[in-house]
Amino acid sequence: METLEVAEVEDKELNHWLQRLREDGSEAFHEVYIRINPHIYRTVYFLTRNKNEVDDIVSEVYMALFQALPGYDGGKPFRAWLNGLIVRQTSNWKRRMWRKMRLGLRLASRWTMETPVGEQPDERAFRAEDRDEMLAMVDKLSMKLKEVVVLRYYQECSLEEIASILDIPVGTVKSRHHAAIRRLRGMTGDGSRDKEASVHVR
Amino acid sequence: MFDSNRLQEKLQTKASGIHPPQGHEVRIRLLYERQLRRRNRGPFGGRRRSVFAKLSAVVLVLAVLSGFTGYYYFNISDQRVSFTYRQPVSGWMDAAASARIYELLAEVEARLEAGESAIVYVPELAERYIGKLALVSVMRPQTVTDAKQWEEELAGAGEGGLLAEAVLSDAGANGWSFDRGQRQPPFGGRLGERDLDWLPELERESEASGGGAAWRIRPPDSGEPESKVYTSFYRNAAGEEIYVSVEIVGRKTDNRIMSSLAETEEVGLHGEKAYYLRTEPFMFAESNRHHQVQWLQSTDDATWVISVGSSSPEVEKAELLQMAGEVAQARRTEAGNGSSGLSE
Repeated sequence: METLEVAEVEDKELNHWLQRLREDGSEAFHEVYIRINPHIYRTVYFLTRNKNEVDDIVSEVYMALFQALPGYDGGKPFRAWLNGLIVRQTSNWKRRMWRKMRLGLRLASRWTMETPVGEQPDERAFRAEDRDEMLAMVDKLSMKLKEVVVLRYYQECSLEEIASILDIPVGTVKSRHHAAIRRLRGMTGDGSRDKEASVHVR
Repeated sequence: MFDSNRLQEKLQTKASGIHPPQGHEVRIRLLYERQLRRRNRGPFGGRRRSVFAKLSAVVLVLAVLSGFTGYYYFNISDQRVSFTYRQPVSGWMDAAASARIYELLAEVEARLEAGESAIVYVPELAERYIGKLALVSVMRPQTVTDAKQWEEELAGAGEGGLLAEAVLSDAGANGWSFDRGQRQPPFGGRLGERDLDWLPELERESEASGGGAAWRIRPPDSGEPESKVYTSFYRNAAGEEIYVSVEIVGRKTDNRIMSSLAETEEVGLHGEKAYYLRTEPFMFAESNRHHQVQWLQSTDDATWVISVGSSSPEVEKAELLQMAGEVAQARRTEAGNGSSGLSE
């Protein structure tokens, strides 16, 4: 209950600054940035396999946010709206990368596309922290499955919320959720049933 | 065993340690201000607006077609220092644009006093690299042309003494003659985190001037990251320039370099794993090209970033590799003598 109240206060504050940001901007920018950037940056980080690209994708998210903000309906939950932007921009980025990869095969023969010669500092930190490989396994999931896992277990969204964010039926969310759990179990070599194997819609 | 609660905890714990890099807010604010300016101009902004809209459309199409959203990466790193050369999938820039930027930077450099450096806002970069930095560092180095004096300066700098013994003493014997030395990198210089603070002001100034370049001299106490750099320039028998640059980095440093790497190759230098890197086009040299052999040597206290390179089109890869090999061998010999503490 306490958490809910804090969240409500935070939402009201954020909505106030978002309204200011839509009107003129400069002063409100910092207030909005400090409230939403950790959410954006960390979600993109978890959704993106190549951590070198996080900064660029986050910039894309912000550009989309600033363009779409005048049309945002303040009566609807901002977090869900923002999550939709984050997921769309990250997916778009990935699609463009694949297209460019195909077009750039000749150049790619001289370069490493996603795996640099040395490991990136972010990736090193990522691996060092997760020696049990749990987050590394999430990173290996396909984008569609990873979206569901990150929204479910990091953003703590309900399956209905995820369906709304991804603009897909709840049934599809459930099946992707099951598939993700199956894949993660497969990667751990764990055949036993996990409590999340039986999915309940909150 | 897979445990969803544990996954949730892991994600939350990990999330608390994920932070954007320094200067991130400034960059995002710039995106916002650009969007705000576009919106405030309205859909019918008069004649100037019409031209601007067309230009924006062209830039947008270029951005989509040229694929600035995808990158290749090339990384050289040890536990302390990382160099990430990053290049858009379809290339960083063409030779003509690179040459134009060189002219601009040379113009700024000509207006600096020896020892000064400047931050330059390059509109051409801003157009090509939407949402990212358009700042370039320019310097006018203070050079030492007397070999003896340079050797003494290096010797007096402690660790640099090794460089003086290893490189200068060998240079004459191999046909390279000392030209000059400087306590700066061979080209341009790097942007530090605090340099980003100049971006909004310079961008506004550029826009107010109708899209021209804008620049500021760096205050003496701000700017470049804390590292010592020693660059010695030599000339070969044909008078072509080759440099040996050593940067001693004592703290964890992440260097990100937008580049037009045309060739990369791992090369062995007397046991050192080094990389031959050819960059074309290259906006810091009149020749529009640059190649170098670069490697890292780690000690307990610092990482030595060693580069042997040239922007001369007449200096062949083989000659560069030969000089790099001699530097590596000399340094290895010195390390073996116990005068540097370099790890084997």
